[in-house]
Amino acid sequence: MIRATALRKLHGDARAPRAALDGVDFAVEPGDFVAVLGPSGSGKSTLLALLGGLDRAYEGRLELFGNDLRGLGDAALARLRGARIGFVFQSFHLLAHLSVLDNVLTPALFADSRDDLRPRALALLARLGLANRESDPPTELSGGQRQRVAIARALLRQPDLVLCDEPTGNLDAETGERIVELFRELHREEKLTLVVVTHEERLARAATRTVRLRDGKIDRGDA
Amino acid sequence: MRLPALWLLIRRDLRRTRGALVTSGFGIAAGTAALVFFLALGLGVRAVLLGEVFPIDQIELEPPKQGDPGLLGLLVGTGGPTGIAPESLRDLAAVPGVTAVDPKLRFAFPSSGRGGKEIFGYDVGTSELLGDGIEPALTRGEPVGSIAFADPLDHPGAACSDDGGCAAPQYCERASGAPAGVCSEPVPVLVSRYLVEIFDKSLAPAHGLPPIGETLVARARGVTFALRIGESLLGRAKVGAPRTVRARVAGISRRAVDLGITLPLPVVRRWNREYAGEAAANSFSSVVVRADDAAAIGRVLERGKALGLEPHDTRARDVSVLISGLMALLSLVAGVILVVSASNIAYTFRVLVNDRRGEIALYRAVGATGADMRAWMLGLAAAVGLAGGAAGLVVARLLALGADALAARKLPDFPFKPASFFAFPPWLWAAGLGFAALFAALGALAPARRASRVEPASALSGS
Repeated sequence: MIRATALRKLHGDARAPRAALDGVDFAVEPGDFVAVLGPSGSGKSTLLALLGGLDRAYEGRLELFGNDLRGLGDAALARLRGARIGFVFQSFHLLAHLSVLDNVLTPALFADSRDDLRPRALALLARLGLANRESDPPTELSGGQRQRVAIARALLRQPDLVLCDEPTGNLDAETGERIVELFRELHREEKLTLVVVTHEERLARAATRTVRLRDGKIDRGDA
Repeated sequence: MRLPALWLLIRRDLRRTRGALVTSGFGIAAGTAALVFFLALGLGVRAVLLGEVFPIDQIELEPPKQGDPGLLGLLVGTGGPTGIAPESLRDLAAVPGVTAVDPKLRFAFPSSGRGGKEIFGYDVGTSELLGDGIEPALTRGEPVGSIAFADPLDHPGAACSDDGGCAAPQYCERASGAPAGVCSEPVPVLVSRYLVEIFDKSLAPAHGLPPIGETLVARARGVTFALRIGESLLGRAKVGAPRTVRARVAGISRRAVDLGITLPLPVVRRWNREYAGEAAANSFSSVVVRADDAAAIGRVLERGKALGLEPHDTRARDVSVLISGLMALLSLVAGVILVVSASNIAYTFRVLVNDRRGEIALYRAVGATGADMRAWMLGLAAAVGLAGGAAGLVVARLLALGADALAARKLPDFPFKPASFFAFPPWLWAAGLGFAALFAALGALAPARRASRVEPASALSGS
């Protein structure tokens, strides 16, 4: 599903570059639940952005669903992202001017198909315990509820892969625990492939595999 | 992105960014209002001047004048222009774009007229009367009234020696020196709307006469008057004996000569032969060539020049150039307003894109292409432009109505004073909206490009 070889990413200006990732080899197979662990600044979020095709400035080779990312144009990559990858972010990135339901339906705006995804969005919200909140603005929700809306948005188009960047980072321990349980459930019941970047051990324990990054390099794990 | 989705994004933005977008749209509205107002004014004035006063789609050609013949020359017929041969008419008719070639035969003799008692209560007269003859067939399809515009001698009456031998309103048509004549219906006469306007707006007020207007011409139609031929205040024709014939107003015609009266060509030919000889009867004094556009008139002028003919009056072309120049100048002013408003749009959208980097990045993450983001911004700008343009069109129309109302009250009557100085053809509405959307989209072009280049990873991480 994902195959990264000698992946290298530089930050900073050309005169003083800093390697955010340095020679990372990494693979994800269908059905994996991978936790990418590491301290702040270790390159976890950078890796996730590269894996999701959000950042194309890298060295090395990166294959996504059998496609070399370098060979894909902007439109093809966007379509691949929209159809096969879901994203969950630490700060939710919900749009305050939209209702909960419209936030979940955001990916449908850019789908090529004319399928009505509204029933699926409502079903997802119901499954995630937000059945009666679809008309509310996200600003009226708690942190945990917002993250569940973001998860529903990520799952709307039935992606093959969900990439999560510190999904419990902005939540209290109890709410975070519920989100962890939700990921475990989704992986178990939906056979969802998950790559979760985190610095929390409890989330790592839920994963089937862990990868540790330190200073842009893989420190330990089975990549 | 499918169109319904694009429209949904635009609708959401029009709702949540109302304030800034209305401010941007205001400039577009002002520019569109100015552009449409000026163009409508130009088109309206052009329609009156070039449609009624100086028609641009026709030209009258005549042989070159051979210097000033002097009073004597006028009276005795020497030094006058040579005529136009029938072959030249065929040449002109063959020019591409020419729709009609109408020859004219001018009076080659002095004349005067007197009449109008039926309308004015007493007879008024003119000491000099100009007249042209045209082919009667040319007036077919025109509302010249129930009186046939044809040579009355096509159906001659009984033989006579003077008017007393004919039943009124007939008169005795007896050429100079002829032993006898025939009773004839009054000669039908056409007048131009131009002449009626000049009379109503200039001559009638000066002489305390009531205006006859177009509606009153219906009343004037059928009115007979006396036409003195072969003689006027300035003198007599070199041959023939002056005599008085009867004429009758048949109506207003686009084919009528601007100043003077227009008669059936066979009548003028007969009288020219009587008072100026055979040459004055067999060639034409001028020809009016009508074309389907102004460009064809240029070709007619070239062909006419080759035939030794020159334009009788170039005012139409001069006025056309003048109006076109004025319209270009005023449109330039409106264009400057639109450019300024486009730069305002550019600023607003630059701020908008900066404020929404996170949102754009999110859209990119969930499947939007760079082109989708560009289309979103350009579509939003076009929507603002269309809304501003629509407001501008309404403002322009209201301003035009106000200006027309003001002109009707404040401006004195003058020939061809129109009911409206403005013309709003459908294409002008469409062009106004089109320009508004175009300038707004042009203003948003650079911000839209920036939107399409937002790096999702950096925008989502907040760096």
